[in-house]
Amino acid sequence: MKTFLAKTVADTLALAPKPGLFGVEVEVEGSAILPREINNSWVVTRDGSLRGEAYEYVFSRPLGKEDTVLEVKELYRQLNGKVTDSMRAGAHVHVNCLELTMRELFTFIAAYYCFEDLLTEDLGEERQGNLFCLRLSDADYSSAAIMQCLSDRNLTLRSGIFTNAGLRYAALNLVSLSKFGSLEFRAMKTPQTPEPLLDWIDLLGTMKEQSKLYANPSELLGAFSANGGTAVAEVLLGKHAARQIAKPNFERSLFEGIRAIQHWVFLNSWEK
Amino acid sequence: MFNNDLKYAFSRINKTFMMSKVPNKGLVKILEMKSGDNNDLATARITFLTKRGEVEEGDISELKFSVGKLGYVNSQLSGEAMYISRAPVRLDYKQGLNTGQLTHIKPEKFQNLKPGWLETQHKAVSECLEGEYPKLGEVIEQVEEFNTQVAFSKCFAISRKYKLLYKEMVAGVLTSDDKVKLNNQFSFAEEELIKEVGNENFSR
Repeated sequence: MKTFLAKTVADTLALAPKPGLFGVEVEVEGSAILPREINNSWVVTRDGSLRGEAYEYVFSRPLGKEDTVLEVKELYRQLNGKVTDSMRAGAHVHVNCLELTMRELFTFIAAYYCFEDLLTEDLGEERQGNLFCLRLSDADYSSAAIMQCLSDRNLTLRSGIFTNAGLRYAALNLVSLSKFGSLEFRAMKTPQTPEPLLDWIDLLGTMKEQSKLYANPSELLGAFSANGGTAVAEVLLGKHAARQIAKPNFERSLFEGIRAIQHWVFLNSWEK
Repeated sequence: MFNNDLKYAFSRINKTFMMSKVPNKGLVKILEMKSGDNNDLATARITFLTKRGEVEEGDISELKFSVGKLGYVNSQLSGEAMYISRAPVRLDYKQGLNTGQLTHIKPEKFQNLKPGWLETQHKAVSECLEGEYPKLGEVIEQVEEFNTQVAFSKCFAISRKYKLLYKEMVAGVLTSDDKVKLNNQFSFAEEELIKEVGNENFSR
C-alpha cells in the first residue's frame, strides 16, 4: 500500500485523472460590449465580484500547453482591446496536479511560495496585498494549515485550507485541489494584452516541471543553502529566472519566502 | 488603488483596520470616508481611530494598501502572547483587517477569535505589525512577574514554563543564564533567532 506522500493527488482526493495541463479563467471588465461566446474551449459566465459590462471567460476543460497558448490568443483577439484595467479583475491559472505524488505536490507548492513575493511584484502594484489574492506574506494561515495537514497526513481534516471554499482568496488557492485537482494561481491582474498572461502560464508550467528535480521540499530548501538562490532560481524558473535575479531585493525577498515555510518543510518527514 | 472608485473603496475598508504610511501612526481603524472637491478617490478624506484611541482625519493616500505580516501579538488584556494569522477569507470582501479573518494558531487547534477581538487589541496588533516587541530581558521579567507567555518577535516567544516557542511550537528552552537555546530539529530557525536576540543571548 502506498504511503501518503507516495500517492498521487488523484488517488488522495478520489478524483479521476484528467488530461491537459492548464485551466484559465479571465475576468474582464469591458470598456464596451464584450463577446458572450468565444468557442467550444471557453465558457462565458457572470461574476458577482466584477462591475459594469463584465464576464468571466473560463476554459471548458484543461488544455495542453500549445492549445492553451492558441486559445488565450483567440480570446484576446475576440476581446479586441476592450479589456479595462481593473483591480477587481484577475486572470487565474489552474495547473493540473492530479498526476503528481503528494511529495511532488508539496515540493511544487514550496517552490512557488519561495518566489511568491518576487513573482507578484511583476503582476502589478495592486496585486500585492490585494484582498482577492493574498500572498503568504499577507495571510500566513495557509502555511500553518499545511503544517497541520502534513502532521495529520491527511488533506481534508481540521484546517479546511484544502476544502473550505471560504478560504480561496489566496494568491495560491489550495482549495481548488479538492475540486479540480489543480493549484489555482490567482495573483495576476487581467492584462489588457495576452502576452503577460502567456508569460505567466509558461512560468508556472516551467516551475511545476522543474520542481520535480528536487526529491522533496527539504531537498529544495537545502539546495538554496548549498547552491545559492540564483542557481536554484535558474533551475526552477528557466528563462524566467533572469528577471527575478536582477531585482535588487531578490535575495532578501527569497529569504523571507523561505522563512515563511521552513517550519513545515523541515519539521516533517518526507520519507513516507 | 481601488480604480479611483470612492464607493468601492469605502465598501472595502470601512470599519476595518489599515496601516498608515505616517511614521509611528501604525494601525488605524477606518470610521468614515468623505469625498473631496473632485468627488474622486484621490481627494477623499478619512476619519480614523488611532492605536492611542484618538479620532483623527487624513487623506486616503496615507493608507498602505497591504496591511503586512502578522505574528505574535502580546495581548493588551492578559499580556499573553498569541500567534495570530490572517486567513485568505473570501466572503468578507474586505481589504483591511477585521477579526473574522484572524485565527489564533496553535499546533493542536486553530482557534477563532471572539467578535470584536481586534478592537480590544488595536494597540497590540499595531505593535506586532510595526515589529515593536520587548527585548528578551524584559520578556523574561514579564514572564516571571505575571506568569504569562510573552513574545519578543513575530515568530518567537517565551512560555510561562520558560520554553522557547516558535509559532506556538516548543522550539527550545531558556537556559539558567537567561539565554535561548534551540532544540536540534529547530536548527533551521537559528539565524532568525540570533537576529532577534543577538549572539550574546543565544546558546549553542
